[in-house]
Formats: sequence, structure tokens, C-alpha cells
Amino acid sequence: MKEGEGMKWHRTHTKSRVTLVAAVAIAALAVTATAVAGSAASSHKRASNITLNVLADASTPARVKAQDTLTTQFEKAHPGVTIKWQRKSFNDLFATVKLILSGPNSPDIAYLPQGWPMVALVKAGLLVPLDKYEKQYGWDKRFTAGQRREAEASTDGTKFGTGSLYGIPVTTDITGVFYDKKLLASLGQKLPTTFAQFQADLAAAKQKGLTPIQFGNSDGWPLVHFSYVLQPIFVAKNATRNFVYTGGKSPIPTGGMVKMATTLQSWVDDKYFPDDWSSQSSDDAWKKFANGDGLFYFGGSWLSADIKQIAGKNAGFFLLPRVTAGAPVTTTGSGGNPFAISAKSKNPDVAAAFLNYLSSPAAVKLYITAGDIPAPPFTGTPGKGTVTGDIFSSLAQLEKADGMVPWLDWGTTTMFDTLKATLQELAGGKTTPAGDLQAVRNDAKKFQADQGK
Amino acid sequence: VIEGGKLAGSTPAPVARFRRLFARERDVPLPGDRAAVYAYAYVLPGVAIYGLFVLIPIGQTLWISLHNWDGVSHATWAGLDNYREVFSDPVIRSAFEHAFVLVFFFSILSVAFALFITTLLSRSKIRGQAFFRTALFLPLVIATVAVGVIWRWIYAYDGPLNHALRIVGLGDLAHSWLADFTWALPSVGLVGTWVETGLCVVLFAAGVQKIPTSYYDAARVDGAGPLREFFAVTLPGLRNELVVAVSITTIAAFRSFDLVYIATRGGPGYQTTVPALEIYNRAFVYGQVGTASAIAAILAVLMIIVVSAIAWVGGRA
Repeated sequence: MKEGEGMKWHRTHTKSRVTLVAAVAIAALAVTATAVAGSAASSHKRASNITLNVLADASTPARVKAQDTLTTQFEKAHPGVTIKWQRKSFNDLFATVKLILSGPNSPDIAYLPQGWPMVALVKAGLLVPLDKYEKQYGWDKRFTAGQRREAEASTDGTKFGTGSLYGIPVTTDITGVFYDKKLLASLGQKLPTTFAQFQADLAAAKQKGLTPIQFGNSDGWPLVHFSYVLQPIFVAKNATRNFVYTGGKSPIPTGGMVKMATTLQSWVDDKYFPDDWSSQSSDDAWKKFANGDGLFYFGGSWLSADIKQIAGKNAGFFLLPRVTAGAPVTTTGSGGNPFAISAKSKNPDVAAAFLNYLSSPAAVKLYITAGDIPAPPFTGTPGKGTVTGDIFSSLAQLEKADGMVPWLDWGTTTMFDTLKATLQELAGGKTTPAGDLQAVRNDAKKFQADQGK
Repeated sequence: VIEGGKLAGSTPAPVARFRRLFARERDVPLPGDRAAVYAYAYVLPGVAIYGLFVLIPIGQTLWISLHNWDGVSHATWAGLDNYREVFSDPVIRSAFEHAFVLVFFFSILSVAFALFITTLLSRSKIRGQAFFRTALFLPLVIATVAVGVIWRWIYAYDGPLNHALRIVGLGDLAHSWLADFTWALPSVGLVGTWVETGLCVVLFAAGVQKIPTSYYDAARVDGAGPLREFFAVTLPGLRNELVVAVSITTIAAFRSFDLVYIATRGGPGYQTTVPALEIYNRAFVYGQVGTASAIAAILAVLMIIVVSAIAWVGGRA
């Protein structure tokens, strides 16, 4: 080696080390900055022209179609108003909604997560209280007290289920069991009336080589919804309600949750799900069910229009039967996710008029025709002999029995992700039913501690 | 450069080495020289931009990490609570453990593969070496999000990997790879290996060309076989490239976010969660910006320590 070469090496070597160390520091901290979400389309507004930007979830084809129709009608009735929808997947929307609402390009109207995640947006001052519009448009008569309570919070964001109205639902969402009529008949069975009968149907279907329950959990949240069908069967409805509305201060009962988790785990062990349930998407799963692969499908009423379109009269819907025959019906459900007005909207009055139209009698009619379930109460049971008709009669039963239970993830801002993870661990045999319960309790404990800060 | 030298001054040896170097070169002004004033004036714009976009944000992150802040409303002082949480929360701890597992796949495994491939490329006389190098480098050019989507398809239950297994009669091994508690993390890691191997090959292939062929001739004259030749000539000759490759791939492993976000979102359970994903979730989804900042700070310190160690070991060897 010539003299000088060594020197040169030392210099470049040391320099590259310095650059590396600097690069590491930048890289680590840049992570926080690079993960910023996309923003809503910016609003261009001329003197007479108003553009309303609406941020919503990707939803189901039937819902999107109905909302597009309502948009066109509204634009026709209000010349100069243009409405632009931006849609994101369920996961992405609720992961980024707070960021988007607090950013410079906030939409005028946003589709919100429910429960304490919504209250967190109120606390941050991102939403307009709707009390004024509630009076103006008579929403207090259009929606039930229960539906309004689901979107109420104190203006300082410390209480949920009381105070000002912050959003209105346009649909009703309940969970339950879809079933294939032909397959159930092929087992020689009628609709089960007790939980034991339901379990017997599952075993019989497995015996016969059918898929007892069609299911896909690639996004993680379907398993949470799955547990929502089971949970009210085992956990007293008022316990769940208190847990949710107090932000987890009122404890969730041990016995019921453990029974729910044990049942879920045993169904996985008995291979009642298709082999690829953990990697299959829920969209693929409900489509397979609608096309005849699967005796049951655990899902929500938001799928009714789409399942009906594929399966026609062969698909039905029922509420999971109680353990004791004749016990009052119950299930997880509520008014759908609320639409709310951003505090940054320049045209809150126009936005309120559009919200009013989204839940107007005309809209209710349109939702029913499409096979969806509108939020405002109405009379009659349309869609007899299909999933829609079954859901309407289930709703009537639930109202009579006061059986609607709120979603457990409303309880804290992090509960949805906690449930996603712990239920996956439960189904994968990585945690016990008691461990699942502990995860829920820890989450609530932490939320309570954070609320105090 | 002198500023930078101080930055790395945790070990005094390189600083002293720097001083000696500069003392020999007359045209480089030392601090205290009049000429130094002008030199600093030239450096100033760069320092200003670096400060504005790097140093100040780092300071802000550290400041936020000492608060409870939901990202929107008023922050309250938290002291070291966020750091305590980072060390006590089992999910965050597992995220850091997963980061080290990814270092094995992104760095150690890719470097090993790349060394093997480089040796093959340099020893063989086949045509179209440029083509092979390009093909191997290609994964690095593809956006990571696209890489994630491609591999999610490959790993799917009905995907090509399981299909291939069934064809050769190993259908029992078919899994939902990315949804399996045992296999999800190694599966994500192997995608990293696939991406980073190309980078290492290109680095090493360039490095090998710098090794004088006379060394190889000498080795052969002395009767060295391919293995001996590799350890006696190729490996020492690639020392600088090795340090760079290990450092870059280790950094990539520690900061990986997009691949995990697309492939698994940290699931199943918390099986593939990594620090960057926890930072994102806590800062933007849960409204725990203080904890997120504390994770970022600890991740940064950890990366500086690990990469400094790599550079130190590489420099001594």
C-alpha cells in the first residue's frame, strides 16, 4: 500500500461513519413525519358556488349508490352547491379522521367513529355542536332518544351520552347471523331457538362437510364484530351499556366475557371456520356465503342489501338465540356511525341541510328500496322473505325487548385495536379467555388514568 | 466536517485522527484561524437548513416526549412517565424485540446471501453480469408499498407459495403465512431479505472489482481453494462495503414501517408490530403523541448505538 492511501482511507472511513450516525438520527425521527395521512380535497369556493367535502368510509356498494342518488337530488334542489365524497376503508378512515379534521384541508362533513373516539374529537374542538340544527330540522322527533344519546357528549369532552348533539346517524346497524335457507333445510333443521340448538347445527354442518360459519379476518376487525354477535348472549346488556358510557369505569362482568371467549375459541378449535379464515378478507367471505358456501355468516345489517342482491330469497337473518329458551332477544347494534360537521367548515348551515337530507323521509324510502336499514324509525316490514325483511322484524323485536347493546369498542379510544389484537390472540390460541378479559380491563384502566390527566 | 467530528466524538480516537489529518493539509483552516470565519460563513446555510429541518424537530420530539399530549388539545407535563411506559408496556417492548428479529433478516441474512451471490458472480465467466446485477437490484427500486402488496399475494392462502408447496406434495406445510402467529414475523423478515440482498450485491460487486486480481493469483499460486480464497482475499477486501451494507440494512430494519403496515398491520395479535408502527398508531390514531415521541427518541438512541458499534467493529477488524 502506498503512503497516503491509508490516510485517505481513514478520512473517508471516519466521514462515512459521521454521515451514518447523522443518517440514523434523521431516519429515526423522520419516521414520525413520514407516516402522515392524506388530506381531504381542498375546497375551492367562488362567491356563489359552495363545495361541500364529505369524508366517509368505503362502505358497501348498495349504500354508496343510495348516497350518490341523494347527492344528485340535493345538488339539483340547491343550485350552486357541489358535494364531493371522499371515501376511505373502515380501518384507514378511523385511523386518520382526527388528523384530517385537525389539518388545514378538513372536510365539511365527516363520518365518525362512535363512542369515546368520537368524544375525543369533541374534546379537541373539532366538531360543531348540532343543537341549533336539531331544533331547526326537528331531529329530536326524527330520531329516538336512544339514537341521539349515542352521538351526545359534553362540550368539554369529559362525558359521553349526555350534553350536546354532535352527529346524526343515517342508517341503523345491528349484528346477527345470516343463514343459507337451502343448506339449513338440507340438515333437516329449522331456525334454532336456543343457543344449544345453534351449536348442534354447527356440528351437524361440519359433519356433513359444509362450512359451518363462513368468515374472513384479514383486516382484524371482523373478529371484533364476530364477538359482538356472541357477547350479548352472555353479558348482561346493562353491564355493557354502563361499561361503554362510563369509559370503562364501570367494570365488564367476568363470567359472561369468559364464556363468550371460551365459545369463540372452541369454534376455532372445532374448525367451524374455513381453513383460510385468518387471511381471507371479509368481503370475500360474505360473497362466498351469499353464493352458497357456508351455512351461517356472522355480520351486520349493513350487508343486507348486498347479500340480498346475490342470494335473493335464499338468505335469511336471525338474532343469535339465547341460552335459555324464551329469554328476551338481544344483540349488539345502534344507530349507524354518525355524520358530523367539522368545526373548520365554512358552510356549516349548508352542511346541516345536507345532513338533514341524508336522513329525510325521501332518503329513508331510498334506503328501504335499496334493501338497507335507515336510522329514523318507520312503520311496515318491507322486503318480506329476504334478509331485509328478517332484519326489520328483528329490529321490531329488539325495540320491544329493549335489547340493543352498544359496541364494546365505544368504551375507550384504543379499545377497537385492543380487541382486534386480543381476539386474534384468543382465536390463535395465544391467550386464554381470562387473558382476553384482562386485556379489555387493562385498556379501560389505562383510558381512565389518561382521562384524569 | 469538524462539527460532525464532534458529533461522533464519543470515542476520542477518531477525533484525534482527524486533527492529525487536518494538521498535514495546509489549506484546511483550523478553528481560531482567521480563514475559519469565512469557512463558517460558507457552512452557515447548510447548518441553518439542517438545524431547521433536523435539529429543531429532534428537539421538539424530545420536548413532546416529556408531555401528555393528544396532538390537538393542551399538553400537560408528564416528566419521564412516557419513558417509563415505553419500558413497562409489553406491546412496545415486543415491538423492539421484533425490530431485532428484523435486523437478522434485513441485515445478517441479506449480507450472507449477497456475499454468496457476489462470489458466484465474480468467479464465473458467464455473460450478462450487468443483467444479473440489475435484476438483483430491482426489488430496491420498487416502492415498498408495492413490495408489500406483491408479497401479501404470494403469501396468501391461495397464493403461489402455497400452490407450489401443494404441487410438490408438501400441502401440509401450507399456511396463511402472514396471519400465522409463528410464521408472520419471519415471513415479513424474508421480504426484507429479498429487498436488501440486491443492495448488498451491488455494493459488494463494486467492491470486488477494486480488489487487485494479483491477490487472487497469489492465493491460487499458494494453493488456496475457493473457500480459502473467499476468507483470505474477498472478505477482507470488502471490509468497507460490509460496514456500509450492514449499517444501511440495519437502519432499514429498525425503521421499517411501510412493509409491516401493508403486509400485516402488526398482526396477528401484536406478533409483527415494530417501533415505527407503534409510533404511528400512538401519535396519529390513539392520540398519545407523548408516548410516540418517547418511542421515537429511544429508537433513535438505539439506532445510533447499534450503528456506531457496527462502524467501530468494522473499523477495528
